[in-house]
Amino acid sequence: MAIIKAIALEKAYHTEAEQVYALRDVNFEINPGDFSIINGPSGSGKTTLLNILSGIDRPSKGELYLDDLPIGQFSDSARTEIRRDKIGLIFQSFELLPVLTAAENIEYPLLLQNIRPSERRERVAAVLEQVELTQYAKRFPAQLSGGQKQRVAIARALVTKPAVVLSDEPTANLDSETGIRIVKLMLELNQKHGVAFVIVTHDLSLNQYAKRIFQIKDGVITAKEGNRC
Amino acid sequence: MLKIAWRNVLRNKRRSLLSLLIISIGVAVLFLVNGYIRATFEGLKYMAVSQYGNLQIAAGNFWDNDNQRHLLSKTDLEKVERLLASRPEVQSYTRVLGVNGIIGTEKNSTVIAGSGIEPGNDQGQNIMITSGINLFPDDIDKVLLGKGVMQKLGVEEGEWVSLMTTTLDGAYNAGSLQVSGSFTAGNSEADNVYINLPVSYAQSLLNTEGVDKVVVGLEEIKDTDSTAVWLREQFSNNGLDLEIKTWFDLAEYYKQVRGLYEIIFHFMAVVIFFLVLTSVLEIMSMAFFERMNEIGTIRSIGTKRHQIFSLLTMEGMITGITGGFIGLLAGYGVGRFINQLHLTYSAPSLSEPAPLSFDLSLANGMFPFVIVVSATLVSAFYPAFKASRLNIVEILRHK
Amino acid sequence: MVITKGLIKNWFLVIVVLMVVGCLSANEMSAMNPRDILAEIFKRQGLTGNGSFELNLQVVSFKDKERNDSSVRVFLDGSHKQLVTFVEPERLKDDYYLVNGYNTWMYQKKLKRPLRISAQQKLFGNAGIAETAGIDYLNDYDILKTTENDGEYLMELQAKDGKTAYQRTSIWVSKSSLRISKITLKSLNGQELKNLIYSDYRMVDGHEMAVIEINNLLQNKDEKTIIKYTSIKSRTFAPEIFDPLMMGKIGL
Repeated sequence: MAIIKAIALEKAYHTEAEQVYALRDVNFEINPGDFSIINGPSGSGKTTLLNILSGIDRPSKGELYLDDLPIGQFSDSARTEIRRDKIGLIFQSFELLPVLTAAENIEYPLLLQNIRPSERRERVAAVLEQVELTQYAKRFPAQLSGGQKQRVAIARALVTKPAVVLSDEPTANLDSETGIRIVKLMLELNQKHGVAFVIVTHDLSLNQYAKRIFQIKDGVITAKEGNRC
Repeated sequence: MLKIAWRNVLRNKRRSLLSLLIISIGVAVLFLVNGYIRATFEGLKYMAVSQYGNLQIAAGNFWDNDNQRHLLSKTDLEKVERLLASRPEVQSYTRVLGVNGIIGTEKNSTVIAGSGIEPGNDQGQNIMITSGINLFPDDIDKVLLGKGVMQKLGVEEGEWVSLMTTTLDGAYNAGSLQVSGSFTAGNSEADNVYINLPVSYAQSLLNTEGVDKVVVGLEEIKDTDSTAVWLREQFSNNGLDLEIKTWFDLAEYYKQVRGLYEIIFHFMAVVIFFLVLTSVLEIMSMAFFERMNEIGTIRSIGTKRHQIFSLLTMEGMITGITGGFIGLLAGYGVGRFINQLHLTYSAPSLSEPAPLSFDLSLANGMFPFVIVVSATLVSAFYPAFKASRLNIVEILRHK
Repeated sequence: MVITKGLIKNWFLVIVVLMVVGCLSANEMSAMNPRDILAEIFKRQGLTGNGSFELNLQVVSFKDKERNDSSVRVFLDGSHKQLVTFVEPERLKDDYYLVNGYNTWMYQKKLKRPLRISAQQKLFGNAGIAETAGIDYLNDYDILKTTENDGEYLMELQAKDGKTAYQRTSIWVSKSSLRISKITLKSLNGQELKNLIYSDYRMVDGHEMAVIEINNLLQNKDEKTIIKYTSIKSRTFAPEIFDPLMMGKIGL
């Protein structure tokens, strides 16, 4: 059963002059344990696709299911809850809260889920260990390197035990060596915990790590390669 | 969330300090103003009680302003005094008879409004001796002049003056009184017309055994209303057609000053409310919108709109409450310092300087605290609301 | 025929001459200076500038059906000083009022010192001290305007000094008899305070005096007070009796 299923998704923007399609007739599935990469040049619609898959935005047309829930029709509040409970997000610029320590940043989504404090501490400690940042738990983002920040972001995305982690250009602000290490970490976590990962990137060198690769151009999925082990 | 809000407040120290300064100054100023006017009211209240006594008892139509003279008869007076003597809250009581006429010598004379009083009984005598001595219980034909009256007549202690008045029947009567001294009633207009003389002399001038009223002093001001109620009951039970007025009923000046000061204070509170609101609104708006990216991120990872609103409002609340407490402390400090200096100033209608003091009790700080903190909270509402309504896609696009 | 024509012509001339003389006489009267009119009135009264006098008056007050009588004695010095005392009733015998220029004092024998008061102060009934002691309309007032109406002169007077008890007055004088018929006493702003109605003129010991009825226009409107002069004697007084500090101490 697919975790994410998109059927004939369309996203259009209306300008004064014309209608602009950011996505057109996108059919897409992500299965449990997938490690998929979506490639595409700038303006191809990959970020729009990620926004819609995560429930940040709504499609203009088509159907979108997450765990069989038709989230494309949900209200903003309902979609926010889905994101909180079932989706992990990793951003290009890490987007950590500067006033919270590494551990507190990771703990934040658990606060939103009203998890009790003792369980929050346990889960935070566990993911910190997984991303090998236990000794940096009390440091603030300003005191961490780019790679360390991204690992905190990964830990934050995983701490809620999501069904899928969506990541937009996770290595764009990292040097190539660190970038590779981050992707390898994601792959490791994918294999260990069976969490699906969808990574949007224009960096083709990361494709070697993907089980499935999607090409997107002008809002249309033009190619799919997949099911590598 | 409180921790996040608190840390966000501390994040931009300069901006937060500016907000705290505005808020604390607002609270401190209002606290001091409130403290000043409460102290003034308290002073005026004691002045009014000193002037009017706690209660005044008079014949039924005494206060009707019908151009008639309604006196307490000797019989009624005796009954009233027996009742007063039986009540433990009553500290003292005195008879008073008003005398209007002309006082003077062959050189100068002036119109006066006099009070025949029981010398030695201070009740209802809010006066301060400015020269000579007060009247003694044994004094029969002595007079105490308002200091303005004494100046106008150009007389000194020991000199004799003539007092001319009309009896209750309208006939002229006159008498000689020896000047005992002069006083001030704390009010320059009063000092120019008031005199005090023994009530027995006033009765002989007016050819009556009655008095205008009995002025009653109580041990505690707070017993005024309950004692008035009890007395009214007693009068009704005893068939006495008498009227009672409390100091509050009679203290027009107190009520007017109180009304005026309350208006001024509330006007100031409104002004400060809006000053704080607009200043802090500007600061908070800047703070929130600089964190738009952050807001977009936490919205993305599952924070609902109302949680964003709560978080940002909480930051406003923290700033407001912290600033409020600092303001209370500052106001208290400044007020205490000024109190220690024992400063005085010339107040309208008072002939003697009034003390500049502040009542710094916590109760007087509560209203300013609430007003200013509310202003801070309200100033956070709008930017918090706008921030919570931001479209995540738009925010993410602007990164 | 010629003689008849001559007689008619003569009579006609006589009539014309009489008419001219009559007109001239009328013009001469209406050409009288108002001040001269007042002077004439007070000359007939014979009190002002003619020496010192002792005047005895009956002052009677009427209110509803009640009547109160008093006998007042005024000692008048030629130079603007008057001392007023009561002969009756008994209760007022110790009251003295002294007017000297613009100053007025009252004294009772039981007092240690006299008291300075206003000449407008009530003396008995509606009669104030000033009008009882006598107001010098001729010397203390300027005549602002005089009009003629219905056989009367109406003079508007203004006090020369701000300390005068009644700052403005209106005086009605009969044209034919040159006698005052009415005086209205007013305040500075023209507020009418009292009416003095003059009637029943008679000679009192060689002085032409009227009976004066006084009505207060502001209060006690239901009360009227009548002043009637009973005798006027020439007398010489020691100057001390007009000293405020000697009031009640010198036998009169």
